[in-house]
Amino acid sequence: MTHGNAGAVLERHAVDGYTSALRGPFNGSQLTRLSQALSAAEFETGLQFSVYVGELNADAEKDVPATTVAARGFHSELSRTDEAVLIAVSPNQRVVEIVTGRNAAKLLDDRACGLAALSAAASFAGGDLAGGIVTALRMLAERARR
Amino acid sequence: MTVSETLLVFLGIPVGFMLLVTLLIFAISGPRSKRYRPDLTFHAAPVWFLAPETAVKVHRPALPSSSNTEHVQGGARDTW
Repeated sequence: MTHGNAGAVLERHAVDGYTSALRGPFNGSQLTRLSQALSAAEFETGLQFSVYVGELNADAEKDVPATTVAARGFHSELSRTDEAVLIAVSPNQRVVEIVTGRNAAKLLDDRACGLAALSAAASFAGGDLAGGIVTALRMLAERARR
Repeated sequence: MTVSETLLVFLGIPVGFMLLVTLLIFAISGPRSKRYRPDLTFHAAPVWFLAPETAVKVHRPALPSSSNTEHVQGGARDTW
């Protein structure tokens, strides 16, 4: 069931974005894994999962790091912000940010997000970007399903 | 066969062939690997994945304004 969903995502990629997505850090098989993990997480939880990989630049606010401000800004651009969960990774800044919307936070507390971020960071430190993101997605989906 | 002709045939042609193969390898694989290495600068284009209805965004959207984050309830961060 989730595979059918993932297929739909890949089809969209093939039509209008898959080729350009290959300009990013992932190869074809990694993109497939990411698409399947995203679709499965969304299908199982009803939340809107999203993954950003790139620089996180913004002005820091009081007690809030600049990368967190930038990630929250990306999160605010999603269509269903209350149900949205954003995983933002900045390889150059070596930081991973997980942002949850109002309703998503009811299913995913900060501790669950922290555990997912920790696991992802461990994979990133080993040079595995796609693996870390997929791990974080699975952990968050597993937690939100309970 | 003079000395220069001998050098050209037995040295110039093999060296030229090796250079050609080397150039072909670099042309096919690209000048820079996209694979992430924690100890090197990351050069790949930013990507934003949205599933399932929306496809991949490669260009960066407008930078966020910090005032519009009331919807954010929680989250976490980590570094490596």
